[in-house]
Amino acid sequence: MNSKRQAKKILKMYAKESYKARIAYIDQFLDEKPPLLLRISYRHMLKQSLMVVLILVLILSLCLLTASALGIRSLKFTFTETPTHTEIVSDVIRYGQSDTQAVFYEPTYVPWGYELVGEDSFGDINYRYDYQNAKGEYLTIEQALAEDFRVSVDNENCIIRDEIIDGMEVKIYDYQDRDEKQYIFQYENTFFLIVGSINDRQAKKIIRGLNLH
Amino acid sequence: MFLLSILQMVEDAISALSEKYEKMMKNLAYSILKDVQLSEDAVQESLLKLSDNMDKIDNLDSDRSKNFIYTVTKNESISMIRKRKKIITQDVLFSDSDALNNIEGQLDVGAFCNQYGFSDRTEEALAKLDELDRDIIIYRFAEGYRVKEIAKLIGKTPDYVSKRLQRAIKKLQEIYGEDEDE
Repeated sequence: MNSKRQAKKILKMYAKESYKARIAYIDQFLDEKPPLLLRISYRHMLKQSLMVVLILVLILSLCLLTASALGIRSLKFTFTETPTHTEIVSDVIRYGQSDTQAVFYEPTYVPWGYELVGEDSFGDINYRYDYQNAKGEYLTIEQALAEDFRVSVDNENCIIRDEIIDGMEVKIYDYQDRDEKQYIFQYENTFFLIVGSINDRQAKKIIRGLNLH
Repeated sequence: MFLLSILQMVEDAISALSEKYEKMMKNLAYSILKDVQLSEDAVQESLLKLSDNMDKIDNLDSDRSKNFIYTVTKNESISMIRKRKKIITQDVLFSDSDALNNIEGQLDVGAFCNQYGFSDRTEEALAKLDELDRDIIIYRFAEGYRVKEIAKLIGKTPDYVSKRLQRAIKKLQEIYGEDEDE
């Protein structure tokens, strides 16, 4: 099949699936009550709804206090904001006296166009993969033993937000004055720092490509 | 008297539309703007726009009408982000790419490509489609609108619509040509 016909075929499939996704999203908001239900007392419904909301808020508060109950792996680091940078310090300080071994994960996915240009390690404490694309943009995937680890990250002109990716809490530094984001997360005893001109979707794929679980 | 009747009809139609779809529109706008007040503004603007285009909504329950309402709300919210970015020079509140990556109701491109075995480059190309291109492709290939009809829906010329479609096809065609050579 020639490439133009194939391209049209892909777009048709994409269009139909996108359309289905939109309609499904819209339909979930359409609430057609049968006439009988409309006669139910609204005051009674409101009371019940408030009770349910109160219970849900209590449960959510309990779960938030123990994030592990939801299976969310939190960052065991303390983030201290200064006017120019964020100091990130491990909550686990053993002054190098621990026998904990660092586990490093080889990336199996990087966005198209990036090639591995370097690898660097510091004993068994730190490992870094450096990639670059034809535009000269860099992508760095750095891993380190989480215990005793500390690093400073530029926090000027950026939006800092949290996302949950694959059950892990990920802190994202999204710089507004340059095309760069930093993604910080932790898995078991390994601290990860991904830096590059990438978007959230690409970052998610990189993280999944580390095959952490 | 006749004009008043028509205006009343349009007003009734917009009320019915608002009652049915306002919740969806607010959710959609919020997923882009992340601000309750702005979302409400976006929905009001969208309803105004829809009231000018009631001729494009044949039946409130049809999938075509749903898609049109969705598209207008989405584009109005995105337009609001872009206008505010021009006003706010420091302490930027919005990240364009974040807003556009999290629009509710969008197809998961990664899952779609995995399901049909399309390459990473195809996935990148589909994910990078401009929102307007996405709407044009859906109007054309999912709803079967002709180029002239799409042009009327989005308020552009047929030539513009045609060029955008051709560009999207060409981009994928290039990727396919390269994949076949490998």
